[in-house]
Amino acid sequence: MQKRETDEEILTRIGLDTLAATEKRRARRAFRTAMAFMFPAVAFVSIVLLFPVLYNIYISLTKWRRFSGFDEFAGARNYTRMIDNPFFGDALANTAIWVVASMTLPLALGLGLAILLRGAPGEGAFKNIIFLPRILAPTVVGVLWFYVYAPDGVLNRALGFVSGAEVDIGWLYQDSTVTGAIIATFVWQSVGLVMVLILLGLAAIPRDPIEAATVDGASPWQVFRHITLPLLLPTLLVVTILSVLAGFTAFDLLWVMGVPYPGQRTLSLAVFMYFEAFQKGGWAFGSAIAVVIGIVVLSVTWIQAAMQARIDKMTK
Amino acid sequence: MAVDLDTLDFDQIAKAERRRGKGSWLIMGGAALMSAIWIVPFYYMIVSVFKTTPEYAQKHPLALPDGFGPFVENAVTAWNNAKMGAGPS
Repeated sequence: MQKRETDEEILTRIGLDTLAATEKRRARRAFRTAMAFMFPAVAFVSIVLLFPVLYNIYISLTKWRRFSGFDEFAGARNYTRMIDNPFFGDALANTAIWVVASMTLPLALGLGLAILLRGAPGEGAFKNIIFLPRILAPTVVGVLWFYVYAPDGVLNRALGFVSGAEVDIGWLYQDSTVTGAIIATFVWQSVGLVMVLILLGLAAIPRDPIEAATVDGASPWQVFRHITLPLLLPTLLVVTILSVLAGFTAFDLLWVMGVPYPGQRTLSLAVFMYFEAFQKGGWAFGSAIAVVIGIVVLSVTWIQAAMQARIDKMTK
Repeated sequence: MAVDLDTLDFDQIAKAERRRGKGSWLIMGGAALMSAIWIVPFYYMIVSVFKTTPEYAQKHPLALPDGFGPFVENAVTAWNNAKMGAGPS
């Protein structure tokens, strides 16, 4: 009868080196298979995303204008010019207003609507109506509201009907009202998606802790503050990230509804970039503005990702 | 589980129910107002599509159009003004 080998005997018979080699070969084959599967995605991201970004950074360091200067290296000249440009500060300030407004208003309104309307009669119909503007392209919404805000447009007529006097406000032609008017249009379009996302988040919250708290005598506000809100935080964070990105890259509504020149309240960073690059033909200068927008957006999303990680750790 | 009816304060319950009912009426009113704000621009867009330029200038913006006819002309004008059929310029 053959004696059973112990582990050590098997190892000495096969040889440790051979074993390690097999192991390595297997790992290499697994890696190669993984690369083969990942190749389409990696290639796509590299060609469509990574390459244009790097190319854009390169362009921002040249003197490329319409018809000339692509080969001439300019160093940081575009960036110093941008900081010296008086409209750059305006664009930053206007964009800051947009970021704050787009971060707070749709979130507050969407959260309020979602909580008040959850389970109310007619919830489905109301949800559909509020979501409706989302199906339109932002440029279409811009044109539509451009006419709503016209001096004898729908809004002024409605205000005149309510107040009884003739109302003749050029909403989009005054510095004091134009930002608010366009932000209202933005909220009009974006609150539907925010509300639907928050309703989804609410639906995922288990009923048990809420019922337990209610039985224990917690007021609706306490239930909201200490149970619903913490469990809803991940959803709110996603919504906030989306809104902040929309605020930083605010362009389409401003371009369609506002006067597309520097010195206006509608000059956001993205509008400034488009104007400098495509209206004036300073490709390199526009690229430099794009790089600045990209860096700002990246750092903000990085902060939010860190917050997300902390919340995940907290809820686990 | 048997409920001892004597211990329930029916006045209190009725009051709570009534308060909840009133709250939901307020919410429904607000929802109706919001729906109007969300719907009217769509209505305005659809109505305006069927108006000629003089008709649009004369009438109230929310008034119904005279007919469906001008839509074709408007669509043709939009197509041509946007140089949609012109190819790359």
